[in-house]
Amino acid sequence: MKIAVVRFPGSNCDQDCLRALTDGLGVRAEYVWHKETSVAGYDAVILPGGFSYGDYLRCGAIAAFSPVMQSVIKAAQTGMPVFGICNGFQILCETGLLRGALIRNRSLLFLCQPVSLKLENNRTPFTRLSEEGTILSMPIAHGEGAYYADDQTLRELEEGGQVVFRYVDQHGQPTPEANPNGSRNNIAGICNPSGNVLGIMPHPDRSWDHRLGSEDGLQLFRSLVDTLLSVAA
Amino acid sequence: MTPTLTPELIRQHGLSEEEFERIKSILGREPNFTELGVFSVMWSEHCSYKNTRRELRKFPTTGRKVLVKAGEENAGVIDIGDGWAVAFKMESHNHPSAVEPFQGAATGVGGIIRDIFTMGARPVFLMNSLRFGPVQSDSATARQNRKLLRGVVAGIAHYGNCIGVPTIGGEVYFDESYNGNPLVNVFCLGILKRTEIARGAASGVGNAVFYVGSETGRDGLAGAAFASRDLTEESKADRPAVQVGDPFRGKLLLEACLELLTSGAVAGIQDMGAAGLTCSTCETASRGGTGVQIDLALVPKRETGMSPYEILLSESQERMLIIVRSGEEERVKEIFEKWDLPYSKVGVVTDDGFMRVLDQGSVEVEIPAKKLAEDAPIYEREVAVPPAPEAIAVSDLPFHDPKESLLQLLGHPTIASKNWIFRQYDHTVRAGTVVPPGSDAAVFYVREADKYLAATTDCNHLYCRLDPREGAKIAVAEAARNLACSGAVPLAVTDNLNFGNPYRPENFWQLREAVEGLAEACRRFETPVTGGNVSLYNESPQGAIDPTPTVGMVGLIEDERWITRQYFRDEGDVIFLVGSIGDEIGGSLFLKTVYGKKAGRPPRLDFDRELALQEFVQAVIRKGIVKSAHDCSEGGLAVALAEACISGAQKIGAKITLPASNQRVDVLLFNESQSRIIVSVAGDGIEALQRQAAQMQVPLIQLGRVGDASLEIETATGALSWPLDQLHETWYNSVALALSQQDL
Amino acid sequence: MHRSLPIEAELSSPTKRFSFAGLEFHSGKSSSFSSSSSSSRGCFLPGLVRPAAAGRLASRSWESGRPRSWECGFAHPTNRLLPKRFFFTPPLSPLMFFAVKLEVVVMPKRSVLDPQGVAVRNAVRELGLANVGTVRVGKIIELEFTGEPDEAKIDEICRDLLCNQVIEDYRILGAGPK
Repeated sequence: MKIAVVRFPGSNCDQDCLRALTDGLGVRAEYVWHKETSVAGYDAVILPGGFSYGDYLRCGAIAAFSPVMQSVIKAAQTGMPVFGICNGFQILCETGLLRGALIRNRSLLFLCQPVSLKLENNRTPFTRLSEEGTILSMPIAHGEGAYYADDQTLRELEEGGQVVFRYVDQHGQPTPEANPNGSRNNIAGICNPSGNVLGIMPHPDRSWDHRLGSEDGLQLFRSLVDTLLSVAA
Repeated sequence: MTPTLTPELIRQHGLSEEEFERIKSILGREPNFTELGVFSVMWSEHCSYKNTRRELRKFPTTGRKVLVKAGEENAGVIDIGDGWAVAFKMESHNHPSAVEPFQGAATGVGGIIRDIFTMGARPVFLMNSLRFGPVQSDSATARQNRKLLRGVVAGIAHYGNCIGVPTIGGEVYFDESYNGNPLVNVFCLGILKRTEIARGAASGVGNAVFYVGSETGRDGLAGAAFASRDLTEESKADRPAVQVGDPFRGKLLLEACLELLTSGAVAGIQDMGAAGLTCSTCETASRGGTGVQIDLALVPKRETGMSPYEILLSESQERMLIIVRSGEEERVKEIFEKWDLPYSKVGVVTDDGFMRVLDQGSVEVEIPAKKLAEDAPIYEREVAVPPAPEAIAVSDLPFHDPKESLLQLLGHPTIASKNWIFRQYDHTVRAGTVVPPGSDAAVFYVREADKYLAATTDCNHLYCRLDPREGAKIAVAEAARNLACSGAVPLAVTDNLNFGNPYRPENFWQLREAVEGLAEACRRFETPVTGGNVSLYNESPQGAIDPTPTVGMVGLIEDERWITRQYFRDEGDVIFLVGSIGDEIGGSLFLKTVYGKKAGRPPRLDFDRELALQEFVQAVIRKGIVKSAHDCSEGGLAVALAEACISGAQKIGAKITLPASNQRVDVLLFNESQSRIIVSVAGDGIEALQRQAAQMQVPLIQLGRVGDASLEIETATGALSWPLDQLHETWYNSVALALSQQDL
Repeated sequence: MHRSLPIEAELSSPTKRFSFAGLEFHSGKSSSFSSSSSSSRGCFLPGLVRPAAAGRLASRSWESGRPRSWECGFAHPTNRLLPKRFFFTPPLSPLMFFAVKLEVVVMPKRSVLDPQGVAVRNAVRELGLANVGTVRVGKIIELEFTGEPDEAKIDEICRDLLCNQVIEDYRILGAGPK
């Protein structure tokens, strides 16, 4: 089993994602440079966080057109798990693999702090090992993380159970105070209808090790690996 | 086309008559205009340290663990064991930040990061020490200070976050002396294998010299010379002299250079910082004992019609000079192209010791490199010893209600929580931050090396203003104390000296005193100075800043279990004060905040006592007895106790009983005597703690217990009590409240 | 999936494709004048307004989708898109005489909260314009072409790259009715 961690010029969290997989779970993971034209041969793709292309034009806008993304899109359409974290989530929205968009934080400031997330959908490859309703702790670190979709899209996402993570307070309530950036419906992460493509703004790649104050992120990677193993078996 | 050299022109370049004569004797002729520019920038204060070199030699720079010492390369390197080493340094970008805070601070971050990866180290974290004028009132000055702060913080965040290096710690001070002269000192640390240190020498005659990075424009022309003049109203019009940073390019450059260095194709590497192409060319030649010849026609430019003078002095950011081993040019080009970086082969290493610059075939500059880089004049400035500060008599100070005073101190932006600021810094990228901003020292896990590093920046400018020598000693002591409280052993220091105009004897006296204090302390704590920066002329028509010799210190924590934080943890834990109850309020923030005085004699530092204290805390932390450790600094014991109650994720109170004393209650609560640490231990650790203290002859005072929802302090004159919510509210929101004001 | 990916051919050699200082975007087709235009290559006199040469690209009004009223100032006769401002390039060389400059204005959709716009509106009010209602902050992307760019391609690029249609609308300044 081999997992691809795509590297764009300006990706920052590529190393963190790789290590979460190699050191945290002992699985094989490799960097795939954005100029590569195929992700065939990999079982899953991670789009890491960072400032691909400096966030120029819009976050993820230019990365969406990288050669490697062509292949990632096709692979996603055939069911390959694709996990977009932070900038990766932005790129997934720009390509249309996920609906909606991420816009500037309401406070207009970059925000780095721990948040509580409620896991609302455990039917994706990344959340299968978790219980619905679990509250996870992870850091966010972004300036453009407010999720936006129009009313229609939002309704469809909610009804379709495509909202996977939501910002909540310590009691599990999606209050305005628990919403760090102004995301509509406190949405922190969504998936596509078939569930194989997941985008999340907070960083599981920074909460996979007890030293970091939370290991809640590891469960998402572990779930992915477990899914791949059970599919292969 | 090039101007003739008049005395006026020479003066405008910041060169004196004697310096000009010296130039003539080095060259054996008069310099041309371009050469004048080259000398002016290389011999500016910023590049040559001509007024401070004599003083800087007093620093201890050697030690068992020093692999690259101060002055050798762009940054010092310290061995941390198991084949790994760290390169770290601190630098200032004060003047550009005063004129254009966002870009000034951003390019400061860019510059220090380049200084680190040019050593072959991957930058792993940043810290910063910032100082501004007061920000809380409605005055025009406060408004301006807020704008500066917002701009500086946004600039640091912009660059650091984008390039992916976490900003994990630092300090921010607020004081009138920084009005108009903000201080932006940025620190960066990188990790490398001790066998893979890259050098900035042009070695190997015949090797190609490559330029890589952003195209050269007219940014920051004569920026180095600009930093050597006082800030006046006119210098606001020097705005074009401020560079604009591109962190995305910086990231590409970082990755490309690290890849280059592992490829083995590089003989020498140097970043183009202050004095850009000029400095990198002559310094690499000088270090290599060789010469470097470059052709400006080959330099990538983004403006048209640039003169040789402009190209050589430009401070366009994100550029590196690479000396490539012969035969490796294709390898190097491959890497540049992979990262989409503009590059050009601009020259060659020669054996004649000259820095030679051609333009379209004709020789524009021809200067002996070593003399240019190293023979800048060294001056001895005059000093004027001011009268020693008078001691403050407590009886002269009317008694104020300590209940109010504690809230005042906690709400003072210097003490208050800086969360509004550090939330804007990405402090979690690289998945290594174990103790994030908000504790005594930041702790970072360097995964590659499996090592825990602790780091802090410190300098109390009030002490330094009143007694620069003592203040500097205390800066080092406090840094070491903060590291000890985190479970670390201090390794080494980088310093950033921020002072006024050195031609004013009273200022230079402060600098000399501070340097000598720093040097003595670094010797006693066995933390050699690995390098640093001097920023002078931090002075405006309003006056000079308080002398601010900022200390950046790095330590190593050998065992993960020794990592200690500053806040109380569990109900029932017992609180001790290690050290004496103290009584020195000279130079204290209490005196300044409550009485409006910057006066008195600052606290004395007793090295023996301090070393014993730190050894004790290290010993008990290693024994596993200590649950929290927090040192007493600004605001004294009361503030330290309050912080220990409210700065953790879970607020928890304390019940304290002060020992009997003749001192007035406010003096007991807020004095800033040195060498004091508050530790909390579980009930079953008390005996071990007391035994250790007796053994090491360290004073230990039992203060009370952790628990409840308030801080209660029992004094000789009655009980004082503060609900935690009230303390937290003031402390947590003060800076945010000040900065959320709409300023136009 | 909502968005089609354009420009596959160009992306095969992405080096030096993007200049990040400003977005330099090179049109895929050769720069010849499109045959659908009735413009002739003669007549380089500025000041001649040619309604027949109005561009195909309707600018999108963000309210109703109606094409905006067409305004134009002096324009280079070979510039079929007739930009709003005066874009006559001084004839330093024959090639520059044919330079075409487009401005694409990208604005957030009205339905999307624009916190930057809100902040600017508040500041504007504080400075004395009390009756300012909505303020929105967008961007202008300037594209310079040697010769005529392909209109359909420009539209595609605006839709797919320059503007994120989930949250933004775009218009090309100065375009006329179809």
